[in-house]
Amino acid sequence: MAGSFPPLESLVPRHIQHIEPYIPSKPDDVLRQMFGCERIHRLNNNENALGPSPKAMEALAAIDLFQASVYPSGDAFHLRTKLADRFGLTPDSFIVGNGANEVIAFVIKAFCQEGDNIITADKTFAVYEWVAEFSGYEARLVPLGEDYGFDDDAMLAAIDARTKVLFLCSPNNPTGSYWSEAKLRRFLDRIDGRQIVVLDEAYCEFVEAADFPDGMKLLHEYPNLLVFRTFSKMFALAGLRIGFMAGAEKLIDVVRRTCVVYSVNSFAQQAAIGSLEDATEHIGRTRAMVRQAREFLGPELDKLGLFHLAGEANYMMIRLPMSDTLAYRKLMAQGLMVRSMTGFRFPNHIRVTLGELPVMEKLAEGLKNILPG
Amino acid sequence: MPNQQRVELQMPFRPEYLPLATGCVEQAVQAYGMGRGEAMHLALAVEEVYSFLANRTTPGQRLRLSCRFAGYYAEVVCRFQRGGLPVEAFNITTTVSSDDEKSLEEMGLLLAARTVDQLRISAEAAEMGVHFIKEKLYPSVQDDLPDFAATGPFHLAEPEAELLKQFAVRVHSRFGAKTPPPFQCPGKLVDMVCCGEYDAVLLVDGKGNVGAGILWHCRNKLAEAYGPFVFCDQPRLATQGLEACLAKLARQGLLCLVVQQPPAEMPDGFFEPLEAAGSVLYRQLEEDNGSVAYIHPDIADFYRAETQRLFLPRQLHQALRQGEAGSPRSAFSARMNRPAGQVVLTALWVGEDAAAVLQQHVKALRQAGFNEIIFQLDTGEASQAELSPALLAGGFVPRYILPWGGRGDVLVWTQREEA
Repeated sequence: MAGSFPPLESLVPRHIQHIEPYIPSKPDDVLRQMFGCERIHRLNNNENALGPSPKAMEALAAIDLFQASVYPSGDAFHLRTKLADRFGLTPDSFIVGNGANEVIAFVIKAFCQEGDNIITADKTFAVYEWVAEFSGYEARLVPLGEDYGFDDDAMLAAIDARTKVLFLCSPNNPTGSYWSEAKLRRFLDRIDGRQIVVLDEAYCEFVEAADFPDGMKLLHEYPNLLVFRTFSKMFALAGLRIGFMAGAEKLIDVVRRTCVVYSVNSFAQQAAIGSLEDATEHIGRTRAMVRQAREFLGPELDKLGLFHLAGEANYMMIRLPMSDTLAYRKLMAQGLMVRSMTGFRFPNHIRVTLGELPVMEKLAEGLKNILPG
Repeated sequence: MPNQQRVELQMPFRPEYLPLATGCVEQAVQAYGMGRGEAMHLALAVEEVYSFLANRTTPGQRLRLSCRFAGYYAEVVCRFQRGGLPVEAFNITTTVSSDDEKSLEEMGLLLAARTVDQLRISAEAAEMGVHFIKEKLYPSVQDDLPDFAATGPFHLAEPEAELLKQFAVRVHSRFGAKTPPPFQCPGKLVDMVCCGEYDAVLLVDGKGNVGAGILWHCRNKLAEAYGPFVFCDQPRLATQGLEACLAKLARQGLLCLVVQQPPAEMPDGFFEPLEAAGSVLYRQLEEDNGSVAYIHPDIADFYRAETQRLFLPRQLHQALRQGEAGSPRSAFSARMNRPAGQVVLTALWVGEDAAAVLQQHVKALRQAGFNEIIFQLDTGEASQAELSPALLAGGFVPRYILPWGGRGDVLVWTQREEA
């Protein structure tokens, strides 16, 4: 080997040295071999079991594969126009990213500098915390309230002069809780524009409750508000990685300065445009499937004596009388892949995606098999 | 790690630079607030390695020397181009014969190994590192604090110095001579937590009484915990403490948590026993999506049965030497717990003489009064698979698998005196 090995101790910043890389799960063919099962039902990532909508599939089928040789629209021009029509905003109110994870990074990069902090909950989607920490900023984690929801008073109390962004997840992943519109408005009023508030609505399309607030409608009133949405969950384009954020044009202009252009590929943009065309029908079908799954699984879990929390999204959290990571291995051996929740700071809990009934029946059976005595 | 201070130096292997190396170590270690004695021991270790290498290296090769203070110990690392050092000279069983010139030359390395509290060898790309660790001296527990009747609510408290010292005293009052090593010196426990190598969850009442606590430290991908210990009549504190510990460990990239000799108050449902007696409890912190284990055919049946019992997804690769040239010599590390009569051996380097070196270790350790010898074999290292026949022949018995305990799973073997 030519040259010396680089001195990593001095080259790598201290805050990176102490971070462990995220290791994603292995592909299905490898997992099937490892666990000795014929098929794996993925109930771990809250994907939509119905797949992409018919119009999204049509859009994908119509793609000229030769276009793979051409750069995509660098700022998702046509998609932003479609989004503007759908939500009654201007195209410049949107930034499209390679999944919502990328736009989280854009926001933190745009507003934080050394010594700043962000605030979120301790038991919520981990990426806000991760991005802040590997960027060298403090993530202040406020415990969820007794109702498994974000604690508004405690979040406000955690703000100091260096707080730049507050992240809310609505409905919360993994508890499914959300604030009513009145509560959200009170919170935004108390912030009074001093910090950026991000409302991550990755699962909003699953919610049927009448009091669930629509962040998009609040953008006109709160210029410090940014709303995140994704095509990965309801629209079932997780494999294409596409999500977006919306906000006041001036705010979006600031965030755009940190964006990586061309990060969203042409196929994802086309499929997302297709998704919007038959969104109403697709959302209706999916909600019916999730409702059926929730109505089946809840009583089954009651019979097993397992506490569960479903909320309004397409997942359910279940408390087990055993280690969740052991349950993961035992369920995997039966071809059922769930999300163990130790990493979400809910030890001995699992989160499962609500999907088609036959798979929910297998899950209920699988849980019965692994429960002690 | 807030309390860490580091000094680094690079120099060629030339005799006139030796005082620079030893002087640097001596001064740095004393600047860390440690005693002259400890500084001299570390300086001597460096002198021996430097002198040995200076006689063997080619012009242009350099030593990278670093000194680090971690609150309760100083670590000195000598890094140099691989292949220059006979690692077997660091074995605790190495003896020196006055008739053997090569043996006499290596005597310095033996001295180096024995002047420090811990020795570790690392390899990174083309470099090899010899790590010498010398700990600070601390007074042991003097007081006694009996368990108490709780009169008020408990809250999670930051592990501050006075609370940690109280925690150590309470554990010592419970276990006496069998107190786990981290609790034997309260001041040391404070430094261990302060430097970031250990962490703790403490539940404290309004009067400042520590009602329960759990302590842990992380090594590679594994966290090892002591507790939860409850010192009052509120058993629910054990669950509260454990949940708080798991919340702290979440999102740190660790793979597992182990509790050796779990206390009676350990709550049900959080751990899985790794062996029948339940003296080792285990919990994965992340989803296990499989790994490769390098296993000798002699141990494959045991390994397969255990991984099936534990639902561990493993691909077993039978690792057998097929005539290829390997390292001729071996080196083992020995971690001793003299009061318990226990020693833990691990392989630093596996060579063709492994069986003989193992035998020498067992003989020497038995003579030194150790009645329980544990061997930890890393199944993530293909070269270690070759050790299984030697362990079996030496009367060792495979006891359990510690999943992800090393580079891969660690297969734990024991040999008791009667074997």
